[in-house]
Amino acid sequence: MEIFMSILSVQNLIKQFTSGFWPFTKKSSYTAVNNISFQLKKGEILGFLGPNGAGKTTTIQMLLGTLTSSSGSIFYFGKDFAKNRIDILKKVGYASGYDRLPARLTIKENLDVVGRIYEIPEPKRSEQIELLLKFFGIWDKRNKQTGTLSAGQATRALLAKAFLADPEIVLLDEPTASLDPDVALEVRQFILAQRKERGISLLVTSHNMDEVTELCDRVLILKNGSIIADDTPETLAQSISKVHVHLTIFTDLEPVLTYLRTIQLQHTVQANQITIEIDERDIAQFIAALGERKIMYSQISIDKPTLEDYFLSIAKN
Amino acid sequence: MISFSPIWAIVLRHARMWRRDLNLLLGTFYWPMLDILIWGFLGSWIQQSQLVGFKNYEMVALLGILLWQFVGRGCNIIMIAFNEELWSYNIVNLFSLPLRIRDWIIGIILFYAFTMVLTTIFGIVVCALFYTIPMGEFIYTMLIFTPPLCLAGIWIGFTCLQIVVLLGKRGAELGFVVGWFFLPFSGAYYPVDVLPYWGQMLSYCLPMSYVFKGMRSYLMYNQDPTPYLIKGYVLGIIYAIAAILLFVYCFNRTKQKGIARLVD
Repeated sequence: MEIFMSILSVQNLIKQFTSGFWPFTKKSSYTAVNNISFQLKKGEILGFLGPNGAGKTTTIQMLLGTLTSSSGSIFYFGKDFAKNRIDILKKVGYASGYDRLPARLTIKENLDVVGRIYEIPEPKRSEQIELLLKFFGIWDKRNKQTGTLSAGQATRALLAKAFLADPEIVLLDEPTASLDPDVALEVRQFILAQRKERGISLLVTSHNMDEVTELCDRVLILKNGSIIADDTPETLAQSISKVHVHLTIFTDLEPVLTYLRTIQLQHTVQANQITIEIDERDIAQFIAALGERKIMYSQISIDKPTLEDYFLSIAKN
Repeated sequence: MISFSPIWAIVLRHARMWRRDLNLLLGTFYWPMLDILIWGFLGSWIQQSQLVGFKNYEMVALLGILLWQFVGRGCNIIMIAFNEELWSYNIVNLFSLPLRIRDWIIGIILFYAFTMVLTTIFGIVVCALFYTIPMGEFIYTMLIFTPPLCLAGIWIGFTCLQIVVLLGKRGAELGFVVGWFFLPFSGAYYPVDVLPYWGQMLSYCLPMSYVFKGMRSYLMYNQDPTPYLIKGYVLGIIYAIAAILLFVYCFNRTKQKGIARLVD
């Protein structure tokens, strides 16, 4: 029943790759995606995070049908993707920072080919191309060959491709990787506006944690092909209990360092600033202890844990 | 003073690739062998023919070269169409769109047909400008023998593509090699009778050999080419269907490792 309520439902998806050519070399296999299940609801933006080789791109390739799964099932809009691939892909947009559009065609020619494959009739096709290229700020480049574009312009052309057919779901693999911060911000605003106006759902992989925190309602963390966490970015960040306290000391540093060594707190020193890694609930006690020891500080700041801290903690482990 | 070390480093830099790149080995041995076979057999035929004498040699030679374009260039067009998507890193983009492989194949065949119409017109104009041959008979003969050779271009093209979808970019040159492998045994430039016995046996399996034989018998000996054309058509259609089906099978099979790996 659940598969009909979610716009995308992935169940027990597994991808095993085998290599070697028997009898010449020994066959071996490794599991790139290991029994993952998740749902994407209408209007939801789902982040897909994980270290390199975690299985993010492999999963997206299976969601597009350019890679077959070893087992498991994918349902879009309640329909089995394996049996309705073409009909489903008409409602799915995709862009990846790893792909390019044919270099010797202009942006407009490329998008025209894509629009025809989506069977978008004229004049809607031309209107949609103009609208998107103007939004992404590359309308004046429309007659330039894509091979001559900068990385940022090429990425924007790919994003225009992803949204060309008014999709209901968009899969974005590292969409803003090569964009300047201001353009990346515009893209994020565009994505949020599309979600608000049209209720589209997005699955986004990114290495930019701030971007994921800003964009995503929910984040899936993949590691070694398995989902190890599924929650909101805020909840994941809060699961990290350690915070960083920065103290600017204007008395002698030595008593502070001695005290930190005594209570065995990890710390770094830069000039007269000490950064201490401490459990959030111990901060008050720590500051009181500094007062008792007559240690004077001119500035104190506390960094709350972020999604990046969470990501780094799982990458370390 | 020339230092030997950097020079040797450059030699090694390329020689070490031989162990891992079949294409380099093919370039060293395959293409010279192909030239030796083609021009050697052509020479043998010319030498033998001078003893018996024959008519329309100029037109037969020109048609042999021009008609082979439909096979060789046709195969290249189909290969390049697919490889272009690999070279431009567009393959995943393309097949993540609602595009059936059936539609891609039909589109490529149409593009091939369109290109071949242009080649035909251009070839006729060039022959008319540079050679004094009866153009009416030349064009008529060309139009009769072109369709079955287009079928050959299609089946060889899709056979080569099977190699590319199985091996990826690394298989691209190997794919082009396979296309040209059939030239010495197709009888495009000389009759297959000049080939050794094993070569003749191989040529009997190739639909092109019947088409070129028909063309030669029609122009040189005024014989009816229909039986040869029928064999060329029947074999060509069977091979083309088989090659396309096998390509579709290989394409679907390559999805087990992922289309994205083809660009690596």
